[in-house]
Amino acid sequence: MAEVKLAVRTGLGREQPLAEEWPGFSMREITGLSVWWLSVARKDRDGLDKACTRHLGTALPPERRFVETDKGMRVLWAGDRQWFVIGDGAHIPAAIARLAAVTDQSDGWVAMHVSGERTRAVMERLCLVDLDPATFPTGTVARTPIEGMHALIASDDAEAAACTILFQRSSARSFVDHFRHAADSACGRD
Amino acid sequence: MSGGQPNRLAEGGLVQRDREIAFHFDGRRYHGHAGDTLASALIANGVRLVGRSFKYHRPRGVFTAGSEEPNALVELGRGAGRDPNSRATVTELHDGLVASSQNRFPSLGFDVLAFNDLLAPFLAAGFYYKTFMWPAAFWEKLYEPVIRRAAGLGALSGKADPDAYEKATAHCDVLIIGAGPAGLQAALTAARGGARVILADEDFVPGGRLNGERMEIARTPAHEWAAKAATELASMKNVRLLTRTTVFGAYDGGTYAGLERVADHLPAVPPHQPRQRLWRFVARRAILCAGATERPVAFADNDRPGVMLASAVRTYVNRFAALPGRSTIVFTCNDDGWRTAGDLIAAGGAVEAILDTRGAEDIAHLRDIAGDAPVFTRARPIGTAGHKGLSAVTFLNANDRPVTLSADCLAISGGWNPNVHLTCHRRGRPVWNDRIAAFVPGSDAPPGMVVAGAAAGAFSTHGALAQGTERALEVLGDLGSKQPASGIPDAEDAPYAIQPVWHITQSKGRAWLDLQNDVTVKDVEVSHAEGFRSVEHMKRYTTLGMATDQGKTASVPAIAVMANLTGRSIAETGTTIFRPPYTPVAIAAFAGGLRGRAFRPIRLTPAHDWSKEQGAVFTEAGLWLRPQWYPRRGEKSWRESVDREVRQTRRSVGVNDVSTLGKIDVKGADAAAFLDRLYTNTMSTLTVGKVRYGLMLREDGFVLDDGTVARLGDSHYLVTTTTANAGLVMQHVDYCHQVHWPELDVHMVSVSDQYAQFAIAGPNARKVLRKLVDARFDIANEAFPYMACGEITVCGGVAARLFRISFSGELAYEVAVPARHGDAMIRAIMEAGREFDIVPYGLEALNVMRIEKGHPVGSELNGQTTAGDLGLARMISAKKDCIGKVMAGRPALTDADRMTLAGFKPVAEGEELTAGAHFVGIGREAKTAHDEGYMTSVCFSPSLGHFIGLGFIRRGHQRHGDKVRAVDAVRGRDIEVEICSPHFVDPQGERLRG
Repeated sequence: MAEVKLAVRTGLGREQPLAEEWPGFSMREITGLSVWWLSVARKDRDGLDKACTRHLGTALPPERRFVETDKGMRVLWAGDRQWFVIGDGAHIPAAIARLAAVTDQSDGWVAMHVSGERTRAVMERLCLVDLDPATFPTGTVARTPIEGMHALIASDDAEAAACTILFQRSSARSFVDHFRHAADSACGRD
Repeated sequence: MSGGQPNRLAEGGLVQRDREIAFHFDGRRYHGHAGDTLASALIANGVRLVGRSFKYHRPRGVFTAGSEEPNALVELGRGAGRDPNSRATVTELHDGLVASSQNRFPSLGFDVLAFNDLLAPFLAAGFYYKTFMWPAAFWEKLYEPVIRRAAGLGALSGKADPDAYEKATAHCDVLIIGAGPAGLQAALTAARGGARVILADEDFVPGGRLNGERMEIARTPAHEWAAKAATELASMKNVRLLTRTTVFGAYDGGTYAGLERVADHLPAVPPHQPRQRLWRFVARRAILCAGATERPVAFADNDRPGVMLASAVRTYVNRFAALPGRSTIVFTCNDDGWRTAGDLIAAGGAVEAILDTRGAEDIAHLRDIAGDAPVFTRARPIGTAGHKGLSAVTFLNANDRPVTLSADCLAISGGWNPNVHLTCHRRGRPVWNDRIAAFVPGSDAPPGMVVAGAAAGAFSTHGALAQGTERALEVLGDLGSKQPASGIPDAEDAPYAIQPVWHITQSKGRAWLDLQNDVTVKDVEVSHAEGFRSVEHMKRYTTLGMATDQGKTASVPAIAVMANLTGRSIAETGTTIFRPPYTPVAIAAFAGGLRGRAFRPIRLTPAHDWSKEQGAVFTEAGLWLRPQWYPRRGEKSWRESVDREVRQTRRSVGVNDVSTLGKIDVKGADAAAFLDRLYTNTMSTLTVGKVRYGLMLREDGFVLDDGTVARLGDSHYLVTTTTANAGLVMQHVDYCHQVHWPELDVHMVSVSDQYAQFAIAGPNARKVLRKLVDARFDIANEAFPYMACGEITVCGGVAARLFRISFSGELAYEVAVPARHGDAMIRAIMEAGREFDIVPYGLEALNVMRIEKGHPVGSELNGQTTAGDLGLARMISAKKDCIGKVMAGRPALTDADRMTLAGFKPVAEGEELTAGAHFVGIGREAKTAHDEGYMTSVCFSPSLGHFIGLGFIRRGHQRHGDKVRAVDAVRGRDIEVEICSPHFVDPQGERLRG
């Protein structure tokens, strides 16, 4: 048998990333993103913080926040002593992996960028999080169910109502279906 | 009067006279105007009879002008989406509206069930409980169906609701409930202070009572002031003004529920819009400005069409320019009723008389309002006349002499009840206020809620405006917001003068308290006589306060009647507990968009599209869709497909998508110790590169789940679970770490979605896999034996994991690749297996093969079985402790007489086994006392050519060769079966090690 090359499908099972628009709202699947899950024991929390500062250029973000690194990566709080490190081709330096449990989740999570003046109107039909800029400013993260599915929402630009949303791959199509319905209702569609 | 609408006033009102709207009621076409409700349009058209009462089928007319309406319940629309029990008083008129009366046969005008009214002496409260007791069997088949047919409200279509519904969440600093004077003023104040405000009102026009009254605010007509306030609010970015939205419930944590009627007022639901939207409001503070509801007074025959609340008459005249009657009598015990007389006179209506229960000295200041209308002081109505509509009212004058006057409308004002309901939804209790003779909110309203305006007992417009301002300023202070300059606009500030009257005791005949449930004063007296004296007992005994209006006009008068009977005060008697919803909410609104396929998320494997291309038949496994079998052309039944898949897998090779299995990455210095505590068997002794079967118990000693544990590194394990239990096991593992052993350095995360995983099984499995695994990895039997695992690469460098495990009993491997490659991987496997006639096999074939091997799954791990029952008692290590170990040792769980796992095969060739059958000894009667066990899984075994089954039977492992009967009472089957080993195929496991 000739050597087989395994083709790649996006998180939504597509050959090309999804991109859809409504008046005042758009959603765009982000592909090529590496997603690493970090978890650290209480005793190693400070050490990990130092290692991140040294090797990623930023300290770990506090609860419900994310930070950008100077290497184009983003570190997002994901729970008690847990973080996601995401980025285009991001990798975790060995010094960090020695202190924390590191698991590749790049194929387990789908990332989608949503934006537009109607984003909040769409999101209020889907989840319980208050995305008002005053309560969910840029740099904020929330883990929340969206129509019964796990999701992580990060506020990229609160004033522009732009967010990155991570959700699980297996239920991604249901997830997008709910977004379409919510966007249809909130924005209208021809 | 307007030509086509005989009772439409020639001028005035807030309806849009230039927009005529056609609608139908009981098949007849009428016209109204934009801005009408169905009730106001019917009144304008002179329609007085709109419904029949619940029990006695008495003629009933519009009684109120709001959501408290007990009488004017209609069915809206036709077909599947018809909406019964809709209140005509809050139904916004729209083109093409079709409404029908309900609870009548054959017509509203001639209802044969009105015969019930003649039986009224026998149908008092409680008669159901006493009359239909014997014979007991008759209740379900005769009595209840007949009673249900004779008494009731409207009925649903019985078909799926064709409309869409939606749920949404909105956050705010201040939720203001009600857009009357208090609500508007509170909203203006809070919004000007910079707070995020949501103002919700059930009406389609903000203003509340201001739209129904003839008064001024800031020297402009009150309704204009309301419109201007609403316009200002709508223009503010920090305000969300929601009309047609009823806040119907108050819950924990500042959460409130509201129902927005998005499209009920439109001829058709606009594209992509829901009919209704259920709001979850999350508010830091709430100001309840829900207003008040006028109450009636009980006297004989006070239920005829034409008898209305006085404030409702004002609303119809002032807001809708619709005259409820040609000649009206006003009956009141307070000053407010006089407004109705004044407004009727101003509108050109005829006021036949004003009856006031108070003395002349109490009403001297009101005399001018009456104009030429006769005024009767210390007057008490004792009866009415008219069949399908009021024609006369008889009352006692100050000298106790009966006087009868003709009238087709009687406007009653018994005083006002603040709408306290939402203050009570978290068990708050209202308190009685003697000054206004009404219950007002107690001090135990939901945290964060304050009350303003009529809802707090401030009945003057000035009082409402002032309280709206004050409460909003208080709230702003609490929130740390700026305090805006606030002024209170000029408005009437008349004191509220009332001498409450609940029941005219001199009247003979049925005096109605609850019009919706046909409950009279006599029913309350019967309830009292029978000992049901608590208001909660009274409610259940009489049904007072139930159904769509929840007694909004009935409860307080009934409480007063009961208080009088018991000799207690009204305050001592108290109210029933008010619970959500404040007004009826369709179940569909609670479901929102979560119906049909959207009811719950659907999880798809990375190879789903490929399976779909192959024509796979899918089944739900938890939230997953899994291929059940892959039919081929010419196959006439699922069995043919499944048999083929099994035979071909056992003969050559098959592939199964096992991506759905739960996969948990467990890492950390204490990972091994942690797993030892979770599993019955020891995992710390597992060497890197090996897999071990594992069993988890619940705390109570029963089996929780089984699966495998693969050691991928010194401190790195991969735990697999069954598909259905993946979430449960993850939760259990997390709980054990967080609660039992937080000191352990262990980290776990689900990687179920990260990998696409395929089981390649069959004698040629290795040959297929060899074509995919990169050459540098040796997967020969010696290098990669049964129960080996490792990190490899496939197809030229794609990172993968390989496990030599087998659920089918064949030589098998499970290969996992990152999910992005899942679709390509299954195609590559099929291509690699082409020369071996590889087949994809589905869940059914997998099930057949695991039954042939005696492997338990969910049917056997059913929460009632122990490790011993499954024949796995030896897996509970004696050398260590684990979750559930102690409890698993309980005598009842180790009893030698317990049912244990066994195999079963039919004695007679060709007999079909059924899961769920119970085992009974041969010759014994099939009854519970003789039950020896049950069949959990069955299949036709293509390998053996007959049916086989797994099940639990007493001392099953000791009874191989015994014969019993498998009795399936549900399917009517009773066949003889032989107990055997559960390992039907390759019991020594030679194939999987090959």
